[in-house]
Formats: sequence, structure tokens, C-alpha cells
Amino acid sequence: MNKPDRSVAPPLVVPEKVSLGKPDLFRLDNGIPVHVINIGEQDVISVELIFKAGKTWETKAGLAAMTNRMLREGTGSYTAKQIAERVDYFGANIKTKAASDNVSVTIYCLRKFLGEVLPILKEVVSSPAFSEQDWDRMRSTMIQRIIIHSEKVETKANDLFYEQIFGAEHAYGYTLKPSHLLNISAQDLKDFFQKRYHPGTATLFVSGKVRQADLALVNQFFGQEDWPAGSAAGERVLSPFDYQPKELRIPMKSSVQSSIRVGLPLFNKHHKDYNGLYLLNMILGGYFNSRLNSNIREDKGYTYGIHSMLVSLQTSGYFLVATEVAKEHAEDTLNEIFYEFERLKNELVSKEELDLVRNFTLGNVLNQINGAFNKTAILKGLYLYGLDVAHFDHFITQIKSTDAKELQRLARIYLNDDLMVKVIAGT
Amino acid sequence: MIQYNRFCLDNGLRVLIHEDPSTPMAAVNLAYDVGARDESPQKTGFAHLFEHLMFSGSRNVPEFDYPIQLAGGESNAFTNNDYTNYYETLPANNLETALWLESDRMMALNINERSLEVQKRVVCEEFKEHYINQPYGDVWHKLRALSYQKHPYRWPTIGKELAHIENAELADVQGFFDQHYLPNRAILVISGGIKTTRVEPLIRKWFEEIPAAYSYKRNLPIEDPQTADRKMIMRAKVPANAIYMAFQSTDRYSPHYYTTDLITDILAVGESSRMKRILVKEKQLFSEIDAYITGDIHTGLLIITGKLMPDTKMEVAEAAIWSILEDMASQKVPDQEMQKVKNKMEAHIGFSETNIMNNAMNLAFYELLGDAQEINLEVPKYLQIEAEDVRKVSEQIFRREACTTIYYLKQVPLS
Repeated sequence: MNKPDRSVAPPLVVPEKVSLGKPDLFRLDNGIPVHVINIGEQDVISVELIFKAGKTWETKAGLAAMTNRMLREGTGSYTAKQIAERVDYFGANIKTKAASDNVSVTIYCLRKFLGEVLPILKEVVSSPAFSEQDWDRMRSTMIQRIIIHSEKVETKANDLFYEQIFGAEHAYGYTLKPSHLLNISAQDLKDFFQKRYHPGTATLFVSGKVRQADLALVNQFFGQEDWPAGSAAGERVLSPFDYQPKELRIPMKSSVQSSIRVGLPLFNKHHKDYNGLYLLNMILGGYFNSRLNSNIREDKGYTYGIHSMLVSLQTSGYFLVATEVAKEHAEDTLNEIFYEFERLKNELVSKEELDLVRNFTLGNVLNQINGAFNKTAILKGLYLYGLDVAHFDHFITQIKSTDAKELQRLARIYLNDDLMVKVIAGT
Repeated sequence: MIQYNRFCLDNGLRVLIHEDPSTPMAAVNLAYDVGARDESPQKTGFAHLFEHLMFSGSRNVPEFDYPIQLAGGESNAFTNNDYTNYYETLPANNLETALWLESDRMMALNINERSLEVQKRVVCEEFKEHYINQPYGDVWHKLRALSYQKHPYRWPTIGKELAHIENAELADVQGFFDQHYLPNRAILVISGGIKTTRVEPLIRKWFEEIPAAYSYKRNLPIEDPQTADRKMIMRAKVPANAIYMAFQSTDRYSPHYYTTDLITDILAVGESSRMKRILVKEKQLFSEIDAYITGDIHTGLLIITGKLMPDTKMEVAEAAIWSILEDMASQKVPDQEMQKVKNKMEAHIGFSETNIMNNAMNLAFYELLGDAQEINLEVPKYLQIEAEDVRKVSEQIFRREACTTIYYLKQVPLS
């Protein structure tokens, strides 16, 4: 047996082809766009309906999340209990999610039961009842859940951070509070639902093992005239906010760690600097060998983890560094974060590091588009922004081509300590 | 159904390969048969601390993550009471990089005083983040210590106390490595866009020369059946009163294991489950409630946790849970409800199998239990369970004298 030479790394291949393939898109009879992601041999499928009904479309804080939460609490034909029992009986799972711009209602099920569960999904998204009594019950449960989760140090840091970035009244800036829920009536939910949940605001994603028969079922339930069209999407009105960089501390004697959040409002993936910043963010705090993690975790041991992210929203975006650190090292951690900003501004990233981060990013994206459900998430990140596969290809090209000079230019514009909001909770 | 090829190297390393030609990625999973249960009671948390050190470099590799990331991949690991599991996903073309790295750190570590010091600090911060600086975070230490009297499951993987981690020494690290990190105590699984014919020679190339050793014999105390109820009251500044109940359940080999899993599904998985429907929705006694099994290899726990609504009295909450449990032990679950939890289980497994990393991890775990083939018997085993089995096993488990209960009470500030 020949012993391998362990001092030499095996040869590497940089992922050459990172591609989404051809889009598979069609329209139901009523015009709703449907994205089909047919991958895999397991007999499972998901059908996701997305509506333009997130926080940015609200007229009152909390409406988006609560309307979405109440969809399963009884409809014209079924009680909440019947819905839950029927969905569960077929081994299916309905997930509802309210985000800043959109909300979604997804059913995950075995393919053999798709015909049984789609009628329930249809009821849930087209004729929820919003009864006073059900809303009262849901409201008291939700208020209690908010209270329970708001006690965490990291939650307090996050809440204050988003208020400072977008404004306490803004859809992207506020956090749900019990007072918001008390201010919402069952009628408010009904009105919001009427305006925002209909074929005119809907997009569909069908993923998993998808056959023609499955799409025919989808068309039968969601593509016909019995689902009233509603008006088009309308305009959203967002409260203006005058962003001011500042530093805020929340003292908490009993806390053994400090939650640090540093960041600023930016833009979304339509901006010309976005793809370059994506790569810059990776270097700074986007993966295990990032500058921040190497310095603050792997060199100093101040934290279990530190990361930075670039987040895209439909009408805005932001940059954020987040970590939970030993209380006694909070100040030093802040200084090190700014030290890493300065280093990116003052020194060109080496070829070695750039190769590392490029390869990692390409492999990471390849993994993110692997399998039906992963790929669906990537496609949503394009189509819900009015972008398509060409944009993704351009992103890959820029990941491969952005050079050290360009990264330095971006760091000099965006990574400035005095432009940032700094929140330290638990000091 | 997961198809795989299996072979064993002369040094005892067991290898399983699952080919999935639909993906350009590969998942690598290396499970070591050592967990927190193998620790000394004076040095708890060590298996997990050791897992961190496995990323601090081996004889020929200064740092583990760098080459993996350069190959477009990612790596991570977890430790639980039973075993320690390392995994990577990377483009299938670069699989050999992961084999080089995993074999190098199986062969010889390169730990120095400094990396030990740093990782001790990192793990202490992990401890604080998850078990101290969270409302209710300290309950798990107490619940384990109360539920187990003899077995090492009485401490959590993170360790019993910060001091145990702070006191770890370099000599402990080498000793632990020599005893446990051996090919004959490991299982390697590759899944994804690869061919066994191409991968087998590579595995032999990198792993075959690593010597086996057989010094460690696991000999753990068996936990006695619990014969008297155990109760504790904790008080802290938490947002709501909470109840935690732990019942002695089965070990992973028991014929009743799968039944206990279905029992917790009937209780608390899905909106229509008994506890979520009756206790959260209809009676509004709780804002959140959950039930699950720990799934440990030795005698595990069936755990129920709930956060009370502000007006709910603890006795009322506890009695309401018991009334549901007693019903499970005395009445047969209706056929429709049995079919429901089986359908849910089938769907759950179906979705899990779409992910190559899940497949690699699950194959490794079944092989660690003794036979990877069991993975494909999971669904039939769930489907065979009858309502009377559920009742009988519920009757065995839900006994007042076999229950450990913690009331976690909201501390009212002194005026």
C-alpha cells in the first residue's frame, strides 16, 4: 500500500457552471404566474402562494402578521379545528409567514394527497372568517408569546437596532408589541384581507416532484373564476424617516453577555454596488474564515460567533454586524469591528484571500440552488424583486470578477464607523 | 428508501456510500462513537470542547476550515450525549479535499496551549449564550440532574458548569483523542453526486493507513426505573410561569421506541394535536406547549414543556396536562388519529430524504446503532404500530411516580 502524501492538498476544481437553468414559468387560467421547480425523486411537493401583503402594505402596525396568522382560524366552510384536522390527517403541513414585503401560505405534502389538501389551502387563502371570538383568543395567545420572547437580551438589541435604522413607525423598523394587537379589530383584519389577498397580488411556486397532473390540480383550484380577481396591487405608502447614526446602550445588570448590533440602512439588490458589497460582506463577516470571526472568535475567544450580513428588502436594505460577547469584552469587540472596517479601507485584500472567498461563495451558491426547496428560495429572491435568471448570471459573473481595488472602493464608501448605528444591550 | 453501498476497512472504519446522481454536491459525514456520556463526572462538557478543537488544525493542516472553504465547501459538527458528528458539504468534484482533511485529523491532532485557551473561552461564551443569558436557559441542567441519578445523561453536552470547561488541560485533550478518535470507532458516510467506484479507492488511500486501537470499553451505569416522583421549584426573572415534565422513556433499541415517538406526535405535533388544540386553543391555559422524546441511545426522556397564560394557576395547568396523559393511557386513540400521525411521519421522512446531508447523517446514525439497513425499516415500523400499542406504552410511561416536574416561577419583585 502506498502512503498518501499528506503534506500536499488534493487538486481542486473551482465550480465553473453555477447556473439556475431555464426558468419554468407559466400562468394559470386567471393569469396568476406559477414558477415550477421540478427536482427530486421523493414523492413530496410544496405549493406556495405569495401575496403582496407584508408589513409595507399595512395601514396599521401588526395587520400583516395577524391577518396571515388568522387565515387558518376558520373559514366559510370549516372551523379552525376542522382545518387543522384535515391538513394533519393527510400528513400535510401549512406554513404561514408574514415578512416585510410579502406574506406566504405554503402547503407541504405527499404527492398522493395533493388533491385532498389543495381544497383546504384554497379555503384558507380565499375565504377566512376572521370571527370576533377567534380573533380574541388568538390575540391573547399572541400577546403572551410576544411578552415571552421580548425578554431575551438579543431580542432587545435587535428591536432597538431596527428602530434606529428605519424608524419606530416604519414597516421595516417597528417590532410587534401587545399595544399593536390591542389596536386591531376583527373588522380591520377582514378589510386588510379583502384588499391584499386575491389573484391580483398572488404569485405561486410549486416545488418538489411536480407532474402535469399536479399543475392541473393547481390550476383547478387557484386558476378559476370562483376566486374573485380583486383589484391590482395598489401603491404602498411608507412613513419617511430621517436616519441618524448614533450609539445606544441598554444597561442590564443581570446579563452575563452583551448583544452588539452595528449597521446602517442601505439599498437592495437592484443597486449597482450590491453584488460587490455581497463579496465584501463575505470577507468581513459572511463565513467562518471571515475577518470578524477569525479575529473576535478564533483569535480572541470573546464570542461563540460573530457575523455580518447584507439584507435586501423590496424598497430598501441594510447592513448589519451582530454578535453576543462576553460583557467585559464588549468595548474591545466594538473597537475590533471598526479596526476590521479600517483594514478593508486601507489595505487591498490579498489574492489568496480573494480566491478563498470567491471559491467559498461559488460553492455556497451551488449548494443553495441544490434541490427543489433550496432552489425555490433563490428563485423567490429574484422574481419577487422583479429580477430574473439573467440577474443571477450577472451576480455570478461579478463574484468571479470583482477585484481588490473595487472592494477597497466599496469599503471606503460603506464601511465608515461614523455612519453606523451601534446598539449594545446588556452592559 | 435509501440505497447505499457498504464496506469496512481493515482498521475497522465502516464506510457507507449513497449515490444521488441528481446533484453536483456531495455530503460527507463522519460520526465518532463518543459523546458526553463517555466523560468523567468531574470533567463534563469535554467531548463538546474537544469537537471545537478538531477544527484547530491537524498534523498537516494548520487550520481545518480554510481548505474546505477553498474547495467551495462548508463544514460543521455537533456533539450530543451519545456521539460526535462532523460533516461537510462541497462540490462533488472536490470530495477528495474533505477526505484528506478528515483523515488527517483522525490520524493526528496538532493542538497547542493557545488554541485550547481560545476554544475554552469560545465554549464558555456558547454556554453563557444558551444556558445563562436566556430566560429559562438554566432549566435543562436542573431537569437532567433530577431525572437521572446514575447515568451520565445527568449532565448536558455543554457541561455541568463553566469551571469544568475552564479547567480542561492539554493532557486531557491528547488522552481523549488517543482513546476515542479511532477508525474502529468511526463511521464515514458519503452521499450525493458521486460514484462508489470512484470514491472507494480515494477512501482507502486516505484512511487505510490509520491504525486502530481498542483500549476503551464503555461501561456505563444503568439508570434504575424511577419509583417516586421528583419535584423542584425554580424562581427567576422570567416572563411567564412555565412547567417542565420529564418521564423515563425507552432506550433506542426498545421495540417501543417508535411508539413513544408517535405518542409525542399525537400530543403536540401539528395544530390538531391534543395538547395544542385543547390546552392552547380551546382552554387557553398555555401560550405554548410542546412534547418530544430525547431519542437517546440509552434510556431517554419524554419531555413536556409549557408556558402558562398569565391567569392560569400552576395546579390547573398541571392537572390539565395529566388529564390528557391519563386519557392516552386509558383510551385507545381513534383509527383516524392513528392514521393521521402515520401520514405525518411518512411525509416528514419523505421531505427529509430530499436532502443529501440528512441522508448521510441518518445513515451514519443507524450504522452507529448497529445496522444501517434499519433506516429503510423506519417507515414500516411506524406504520405497524396499533392503537393498543400506543395505549399500553402510554400507560407504562405516564406514571406519576416516574415523573420529574419543575415549576419555573416568575419571580415577583419585592416592593
